[in-house]
Amino acid sequence: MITPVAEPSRPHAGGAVETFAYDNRIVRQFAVATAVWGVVAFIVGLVVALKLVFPGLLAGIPELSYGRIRPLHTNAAIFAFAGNAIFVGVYYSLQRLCKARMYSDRLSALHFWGWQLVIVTAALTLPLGFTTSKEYAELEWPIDLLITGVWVAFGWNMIGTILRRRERHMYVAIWFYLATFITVAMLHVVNSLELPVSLLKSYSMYAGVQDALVQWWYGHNAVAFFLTTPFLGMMYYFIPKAANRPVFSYRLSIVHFWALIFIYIWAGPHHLLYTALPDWAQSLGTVFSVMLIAPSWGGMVNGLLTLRGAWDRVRQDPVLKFLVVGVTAYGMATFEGPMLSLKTVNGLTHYTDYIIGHVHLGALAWNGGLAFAMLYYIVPRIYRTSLYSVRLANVHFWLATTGILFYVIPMYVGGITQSLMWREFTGEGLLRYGNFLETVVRLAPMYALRAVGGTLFTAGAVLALVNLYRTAQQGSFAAEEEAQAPALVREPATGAWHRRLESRPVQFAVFTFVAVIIGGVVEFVPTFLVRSNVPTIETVRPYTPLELEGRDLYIREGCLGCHSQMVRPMRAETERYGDYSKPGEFVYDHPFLWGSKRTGPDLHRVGGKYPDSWHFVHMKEPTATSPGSIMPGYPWLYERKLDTSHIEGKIITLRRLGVPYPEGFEHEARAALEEQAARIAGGLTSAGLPIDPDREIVALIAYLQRLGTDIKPRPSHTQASAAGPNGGL
Amino acid sequence: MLAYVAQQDTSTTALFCRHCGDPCDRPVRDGDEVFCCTGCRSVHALLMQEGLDRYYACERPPGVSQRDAALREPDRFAALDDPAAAAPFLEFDDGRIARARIPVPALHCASCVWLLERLWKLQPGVVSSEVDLLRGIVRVTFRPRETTLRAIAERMAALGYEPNLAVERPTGGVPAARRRLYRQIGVAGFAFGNIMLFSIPRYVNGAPLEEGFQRLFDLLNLGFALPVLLFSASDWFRGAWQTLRTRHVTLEFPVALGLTVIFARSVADIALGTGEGFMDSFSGLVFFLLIGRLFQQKTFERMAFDRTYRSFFPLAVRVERDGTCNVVPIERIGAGDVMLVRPHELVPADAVLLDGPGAIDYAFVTGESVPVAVSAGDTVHAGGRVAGHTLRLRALGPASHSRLASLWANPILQAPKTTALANLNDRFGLWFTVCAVAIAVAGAIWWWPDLGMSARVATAVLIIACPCALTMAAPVTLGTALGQLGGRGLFARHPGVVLDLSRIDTIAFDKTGTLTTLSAPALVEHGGLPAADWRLVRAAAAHSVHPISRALAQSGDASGVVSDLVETPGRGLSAVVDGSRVRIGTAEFTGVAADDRPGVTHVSVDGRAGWVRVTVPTRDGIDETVRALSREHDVHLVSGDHDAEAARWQPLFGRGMAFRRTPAGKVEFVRGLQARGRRVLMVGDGLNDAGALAAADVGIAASDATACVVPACDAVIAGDRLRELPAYLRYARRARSVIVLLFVLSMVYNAVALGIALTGALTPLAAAVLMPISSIGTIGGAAGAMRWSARRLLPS
Amino acid sequence: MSVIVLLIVAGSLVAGGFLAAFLWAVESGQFDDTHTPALRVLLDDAVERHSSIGSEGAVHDHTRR
Repeated sequence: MITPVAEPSRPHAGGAVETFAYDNRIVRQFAVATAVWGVVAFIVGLVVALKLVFPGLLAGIPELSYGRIRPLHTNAAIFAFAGNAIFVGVYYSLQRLCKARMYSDRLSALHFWGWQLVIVTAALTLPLGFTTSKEYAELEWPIDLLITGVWVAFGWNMIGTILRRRERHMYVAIWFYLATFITVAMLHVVNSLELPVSLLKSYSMYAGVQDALVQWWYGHNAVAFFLTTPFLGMMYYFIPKAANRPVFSYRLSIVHFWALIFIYIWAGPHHLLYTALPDWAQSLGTVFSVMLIAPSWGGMVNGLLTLRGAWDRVRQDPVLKFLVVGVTAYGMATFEGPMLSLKTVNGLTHYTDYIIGHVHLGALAWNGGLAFAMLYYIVPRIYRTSLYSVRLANVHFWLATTGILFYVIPMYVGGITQSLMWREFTGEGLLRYGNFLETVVRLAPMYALRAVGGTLFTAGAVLALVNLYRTAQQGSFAAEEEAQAPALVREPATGAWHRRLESRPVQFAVFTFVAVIIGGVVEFVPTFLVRSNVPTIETVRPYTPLELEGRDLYIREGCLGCHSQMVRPMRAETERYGDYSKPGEFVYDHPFLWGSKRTGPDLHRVGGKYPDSWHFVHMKEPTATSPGSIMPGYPWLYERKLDTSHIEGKIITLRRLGVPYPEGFEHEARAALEEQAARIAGGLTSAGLPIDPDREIVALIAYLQRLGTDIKPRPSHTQASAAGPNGGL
Repeated sequence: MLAYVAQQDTSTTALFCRHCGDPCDRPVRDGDEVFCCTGCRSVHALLMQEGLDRYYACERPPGVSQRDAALREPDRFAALDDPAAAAPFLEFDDGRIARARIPVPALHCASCVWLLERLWKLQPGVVSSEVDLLRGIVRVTFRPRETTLRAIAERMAALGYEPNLAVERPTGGVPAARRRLYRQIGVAGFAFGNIMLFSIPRYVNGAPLEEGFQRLFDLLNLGFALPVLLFSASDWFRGAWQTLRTRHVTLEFPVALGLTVIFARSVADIALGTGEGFMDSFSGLVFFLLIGRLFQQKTFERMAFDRTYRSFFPLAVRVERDGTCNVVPIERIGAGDVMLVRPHELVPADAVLLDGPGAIDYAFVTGESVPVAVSAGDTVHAGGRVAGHTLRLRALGPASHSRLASLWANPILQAPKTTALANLNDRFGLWFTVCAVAIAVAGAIWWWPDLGMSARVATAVLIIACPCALTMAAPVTLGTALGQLGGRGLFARHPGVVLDLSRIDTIAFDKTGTLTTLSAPALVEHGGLPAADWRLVRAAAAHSVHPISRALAQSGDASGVVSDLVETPGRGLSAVVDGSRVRIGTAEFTGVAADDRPGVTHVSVDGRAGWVRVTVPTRDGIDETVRALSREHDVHLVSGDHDAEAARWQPLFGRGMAFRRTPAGKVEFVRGLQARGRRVLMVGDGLNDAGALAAADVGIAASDATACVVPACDAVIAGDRLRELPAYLRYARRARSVIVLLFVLSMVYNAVALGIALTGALTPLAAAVLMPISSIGTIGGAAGAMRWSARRLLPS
Repeated sequence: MSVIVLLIVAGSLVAGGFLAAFLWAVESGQFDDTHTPALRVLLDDAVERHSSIGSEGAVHDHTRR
């Protein structure tokens, strides 16, 4: 099996020829991590799904309550499974594309162990309720710092390798990897700007609408540059390799890359349609999302056409099968996305399970498909053997595919059904399903089917784990893969680059461009940062200390996983929930809690809607007040004492962020808190529901009763002006 | 999967060459591998021994057949040791490290790339190599101290990748100009995208945004637009500047004017805060214009490429190989081949004269047609024509089609009859531009004082008025047609020829060598001389390319030492063979009693009289061809021979036949037709009818296994393609109608567009999109139509 | 909406960076040849490939003999 390149470098080949070895160890490490974390993520997801079918499942354990492990699932799927998969692909293909070993083994190790540490800490902190509540960015500030460090290590290692490459041309995949690194770094930093209160508690720098915009600019681009570009890079490497055919059009792939790069970054705001975000910003998001179809489909077509004439192999080869399904799903998802960003469609599907279906089509088929294809391709090669069982892999393929169908279709159906029920009116102009619960029970069978789909997919993943393990067993691991290549000869200073700079107009253009940008920033940032032009509303006041603590409980328990706090300006919603949400109402919300899914009803106007006693009973055993509810109970809120140790710090931090707590209020805060708690507890006791004022439930009730009440007394139309983007100031 | 392997097996074991995949008629074996030739086997062996068996990881065997490798001269790359010869291939050489571009036509698959990029494993001193498959180039970086370009070339050849040194300076990747265009497009596209980003909010919002944002966005737009103005659009401004300096209006002028107007207007708006300007239109316009320009450049490149590389220039020369002398197409000539070049024939490759003295006429190269005397050992350059008697030459390198073609297309030789297409376009462009500007100004004045409106109208007019659509139509159509014809057997000298062809209404054929051919053996009867004399006669005849002589020479042993040979077109040939004076030709020329039997050519050897009658077979299919042609044209036959065969041609040409015409007589004949207002196409072999070919509106020389190129002709056709003549003519007419159609279309387009623009209904952005579309439409339409019709109308 | 400015600045900087990268790539001839790289990757592995699961099986068997 010894091949020429493995022989020691022959003298006659000239000094410039270097013998080196590809580092397969790091590839193996990430591969193992991908497979294992993948299965974990799927199982957690399955549990989450089952909890919607059997609310009693694992009930009463705070760490395993729905609100806490849903983010655990998303994080595990995105950062543990997809993340490690990205690194498998990058570390395997980059070395070969650059004809160079990774820049530094130490950085590789740092990257690997650092990333696993991030995952483990996430797996610990999220169930314990330490979360920023920003979707896909729930991890608290120390972990954010850790992530930043690890990411830098990754980028340093990658760029170092590229600089040391022995292949002059940078294959298109490398460009996709680079884009991933740079953009994700920026997104992560900008979105994670937060002010710590304690080791595991921080408040977002931005408030309300602004926080929402940043969050979804991040949220969208996380999908774009963490779950799309790196996988596109892998697609452009592994499809040709697996099919043993050159990519359909290399030129198209280059155009694909640059088009995607220049459009994607601006598509974020479409996640906030109908929200309090200025209309023009929303429309901007829509326009750019629709423009995205072109490059996305260019990529998909390029990927699929690469297989023209190789379909006979697609039938035999699980690697190609997974690739085909993955790329096809990418095409569907990237068509669906822009459609969902059209205002009308979005009005129908947003907050429903349709979106859940949409993202899982992407996650399971596109990311999952490519990840498994990659594992099936790489593991046999680094173990110098062939796959343990092709039949098993094919079984996995069919389990996965049917699993995806069982998952996605019910979600689509359920989402549309529920949305239509929400907006259905009777002849008398009343909501046909005034009780939100009616629309939930209707979904029960869909949730059951979805769980079945999830089970199938997870089972498939387990088979893959076994198959890959046996493959490794039967093979012999080639940790160091010897290779030989001449070092890159520096281009002689033909000075093309210099010529470009010498050409005066260009110089001038560049300078003026930079100047204008800087000028714009200098001129505007200060003015903006002093007076944010979110319309402020007289009656909107900061939260009381108790409400603040209640809000942090709301965050800790992940209530926003099921309850939105954003009443959209549509009749169906104002009828059901009350006056629509105004930007000015959120100016003190660090972070914003709009949520993105309504498994339960919207809560922005819940304040004062029910008596405290109702909440008291409801929280302990939801079915007691709402028969058939699938919401879990929160018994522990009734036993645990409210931890007020950080109340001063919280007040101070928020004041720093611009919340107008009077100077020195932090000293009165605890007193004020206990006073309000006592009042609520007293009321409950007199209502026959005895409770100590120092329990968490009291604070939570305080917060809920405050929600959306600031502008309630006034008739909504006087606020209309304040709602428009031009109003206020 | 199994089936797959099985199929692989059959493809390799069932007598297909393991190396090149060709069927093996005489299989060579090596173990259980089968090869089509020893060449393939040795390459395979070499790769195996070097451990490069991954080379065969393709689906079908990737190798290049080595069948005629044996025929090649071992030291054919010796020339590369001469710095002058190597220079064109060297990118740079600082004595320590050097990089060369080596053209390798045989490149075709992933394995080729893989192998040739591992040259460093096979050739000491090679640092690295990079393959550019589309351009068929391998860039080799090497240490001149450790190896030489020659050694590298020989190594590649040994691997079965024969470098082609005939290519003049190999194309150097993407020219800087093209890169610049890409960068301009990149900048414009980038700016366009971002400017859209900051402009859309304004549109969707209906009203200006909150004060702060509107100003910020406007300034950002300005910032993004600047690089577009200064870098992406610079070429148009340069063109406009030319116009102002040289007073010679260029097509860039109106566009530049439009850009200036729209940009100035926008800056004013932003500065005065009167609006948000048109920066999106501006950058979009430049972006689309650049795309159009790129498309145009690519089309022209492709035309040039087709012309130089795809065109088959039908030439062949007689080569002595292992004793026998056979006719070889010149592209198969290699260094060291011994060529016999007869009078009138071209020397296809640089060569050394083996036995002289002789005379060469460099008319093709210099335009000066006084023959130059050369003696044994002299170097004779490709493109020279042999004058006097046949020369034996050893080729120094392979012959180059493109080189000979370019010689032949050399403007020095171009008859003045070319259609004044180019300058027509220029004049037209000029007028168009002037009108466009005038209309724009008029429009602006009309809308005055509504500043916004007049600026908008002027811009729209200047931008939408698209002369390129009109000026491109003809060149692209004809250029493409030229390339397509070249690839299909009719090699025209310049695009104008296609247009001339389309206007032909009369066709005159030379008989011998045109309607008749020597590719089939001729029937030769002779008498009056002892057998010994006939050897002398044939020896003399062997030195002439005239059909009769060639037939005679082929009819038997033609050995003998030939000296002071003189050939007089239309009369005959005289030479001294082994000491006896031999004359072949007309009665008066040979000085023997006229023999009135039809078809007889007179012969005399030291005064002894004889006769020979050669019946040259007619080309098969020629009758159908002439008949087909005679439906749409009137056809004539004009021949130097006597009317012996009149009867045979009567049915085809009716009374349009003329015999016993001297070369001058043939010219008369053609002029006569033209005098009657006919547009004449003359088809001949260029020997006794060169003048006629020159005189005709279009002269096509038919070439059969000779290296004769007639300076005066407009096109060369391979003899066996003559029967396709009707197709070629139809195609030429198609080209003309395409041009007309495109002219009409773009006229209409301009009229309508200008109309709308003047009403002010056209936003600059709309204009920005329409304009490039129109030119891309024209160019694409022209090229596409001609390619498509070529597939429909022409033989492949 | 001050934050929009922040996003624009961040976005523009990154976009500007990519533009620079694009200009460099074109200038240094990265995109001169838009065909060969696609073929180059096909045979880039250092080690003789194993007929893992059929995809290159044929090729592999082929090279074995």
